[in-house]
Amino acid sequence: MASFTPYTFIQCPCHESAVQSRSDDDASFTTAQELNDDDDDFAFDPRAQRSTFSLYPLEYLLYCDVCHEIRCPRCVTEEIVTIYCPNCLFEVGSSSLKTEGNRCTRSCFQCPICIGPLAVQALETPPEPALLSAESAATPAPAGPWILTCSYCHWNSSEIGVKFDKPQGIFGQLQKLRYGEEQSKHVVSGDTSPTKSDSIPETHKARFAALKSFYGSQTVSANPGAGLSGLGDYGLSSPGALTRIMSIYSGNTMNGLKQKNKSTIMREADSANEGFRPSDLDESAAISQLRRDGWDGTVTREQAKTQVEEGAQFADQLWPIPYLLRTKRSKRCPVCRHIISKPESKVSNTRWRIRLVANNSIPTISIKPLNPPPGSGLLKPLQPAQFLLTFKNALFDDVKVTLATPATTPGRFASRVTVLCPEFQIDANPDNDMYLDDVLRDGDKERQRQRGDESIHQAEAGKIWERGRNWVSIVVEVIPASLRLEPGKDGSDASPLKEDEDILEIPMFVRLEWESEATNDQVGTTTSKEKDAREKRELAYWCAIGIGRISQE
Amino acid sequence: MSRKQVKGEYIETDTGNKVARKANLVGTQHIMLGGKTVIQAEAMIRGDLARTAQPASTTTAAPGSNTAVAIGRYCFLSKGCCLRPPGRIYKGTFTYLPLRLGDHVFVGEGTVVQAATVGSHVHIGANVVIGEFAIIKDYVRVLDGAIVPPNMVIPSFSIVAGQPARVVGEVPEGGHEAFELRELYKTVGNNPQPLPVTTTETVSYECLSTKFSSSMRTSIRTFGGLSGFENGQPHLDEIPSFAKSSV
Repeated sequence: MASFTPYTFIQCPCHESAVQSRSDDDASFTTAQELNDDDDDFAFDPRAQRSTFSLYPLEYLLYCDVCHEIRCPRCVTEEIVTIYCPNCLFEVGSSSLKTEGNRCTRSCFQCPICIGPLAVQALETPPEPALLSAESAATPAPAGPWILTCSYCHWNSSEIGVKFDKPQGIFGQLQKLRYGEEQSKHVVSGDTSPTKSDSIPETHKARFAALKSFYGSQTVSANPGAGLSGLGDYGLSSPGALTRIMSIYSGNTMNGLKQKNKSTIMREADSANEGFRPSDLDESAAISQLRRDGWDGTVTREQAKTQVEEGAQFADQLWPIPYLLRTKRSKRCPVCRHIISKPESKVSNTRWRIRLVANNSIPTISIKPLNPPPGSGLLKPLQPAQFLLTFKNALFDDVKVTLATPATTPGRFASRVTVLCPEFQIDANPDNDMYLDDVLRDGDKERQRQRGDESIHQAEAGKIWERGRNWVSIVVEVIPASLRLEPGKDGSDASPLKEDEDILEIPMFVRLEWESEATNDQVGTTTSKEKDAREKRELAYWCAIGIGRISQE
Repeated sequence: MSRKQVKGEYIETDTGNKVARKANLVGTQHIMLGGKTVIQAEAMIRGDLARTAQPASTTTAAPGSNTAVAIGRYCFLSKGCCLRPPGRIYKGTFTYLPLRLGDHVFVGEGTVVQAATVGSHVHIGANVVIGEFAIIKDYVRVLDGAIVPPNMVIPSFSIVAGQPARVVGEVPEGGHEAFELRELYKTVGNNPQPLPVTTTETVSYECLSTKFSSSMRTSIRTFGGLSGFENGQPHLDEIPSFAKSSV
């Protein structure tokens, strides 16, 4: 608790649209302040329940340079570029994803106990050294049965009686061991096509498929042309769906008459190959196992959750977990549909084709105390403290910044906030010229030295504290509120301090104005013709600045 | 390493490496530094754990070729960290295999790295253990206190935390620059320069990791797509028994 790092979170504009469109249902959750949307007095409350969902650190934000707006991970639309296994880093095609499921079908497994990676190891005594070939890390000599072992918690697959004949294709072998020869194929594919009538479905997926096909056929025989028959194919392209929609919309009169005539009784599934399974009400076996193995033999909620199949109760029912596949995704602006972030498609390539990040367009804000307080670093209640906010311009144009904060912070403990210099200009971000950088830094140093001679550099209202090539520091004065609650005051909430309520968080409205070259991006809009034209730009957003914790004295 | 006669805290080499005088480098002939690397006091590099399985003749013939630890450019090894090549049974005998670090790798205080490969632009926090033969790809952030199990592969753009470590989030697009260690390199040495105002990215990133660890905002899981991750390590409560083995 003692350490606190100042932070800046920026609000994505998508927040507003959400409030406006859904204000009716959320009226009970939003504070009164938030509802006064059209009011000029509207101040953003970073502590409102809703705000936490729209505040992001600058790194997480993207910037659409067509709409000139900030975009956050919540409002962009994502598209999968590449699917790969996070363990073997092999790319998986989207077609094989459909047939084989969303897990790695090579030999990548996670430990069911601790989720560490599993390695294939020979169970038998150490192999003859001469037989070994180089490189392959997980495969010793071709001898004996093989097991999966976790080098973190020392679990191994022989604990659940699983041994493999060969060290390759573990996924397939495991499926066979688990579900038997003919079922394994079905399980791998995650296919919902009905199983052969003679086989008895074992897995949940297979049982679901069997049940679905059974009831599908039942409804078809009971009511052809309507009902659930189209369930299997949701797409509108199929003729079945079309007839279903037609029957829904083209008057119930004639269809209803038909249905009355054809009120045949539907049968319920009653045999195992139709997917029916009577639930096992005799739990004596489970109870005796619980007695024998105790608490350690049971499965934790987390472990059960990470399993592929549901319903594991005891540790010996836990199977190695094939790795879930991971994706590389590109992101689109939700408004103009332009791609604002696109990684290279190859798994090993870490470059990006398009990466319009917000820290290239909006200034970064860093916070530090003007006179570092001795001791705990907590803010003393009712004692003015001054902080330096440093704005660093990332644009190649001069930016005019206007800041606004409410006089007191929202919430139960209203601290007073004064921005001493709410309006200033930051110079353009120069090209990364290292030489220039050094020269100017020396200049800065000298200035600092001079300032040291002057001894006390007073923070003055309306003046910036310090200025660099593309950054400006200003002073913000806060008078932290007392965290002591006055009891007896009627109407006030006297509940004890909530989590992080002692953090002094300033809502700040930042407005940027700059002139830049007219957009001539790849879009080819009409404005791109006049390249020399300077365009006035404006960007405004709320941000929440966490200054520090107030001491609870 | 060419020793300058100035008695500073660091020995600065021609290639720009800054090695603290109190750093513990064992078997220096097996350690390769790419340049512009900072090694702080009490950091240890076990160069003596070089490959032993090779025929003895090659080892003696070309001492430079048998590298135990290879480090790229602009790496930063904090106080008290340890780089140790991983070892295993190979061709019937136990041998160590080289440990490779890419460029811009930050290793936090008190961290032990026994990985096979660490890519470029990797940030490893404080008090982390990277297990033997782990492979860490580029642009990976390992949060403080994580224990990366042996043989684990961490793909690019992952944020990893917990014991055992798991991928808890993705490095956002705007967070790539925060891995750059050029500015940090300038701030240490015998005549260090103050950290310029420009590196705010790292600052706010730190705040992010404290965000993760202190669960300041209860709904913080919304960004970065984190789930079930609080107090610096994911919820994997009540793991019944860790040291289980039936063989």
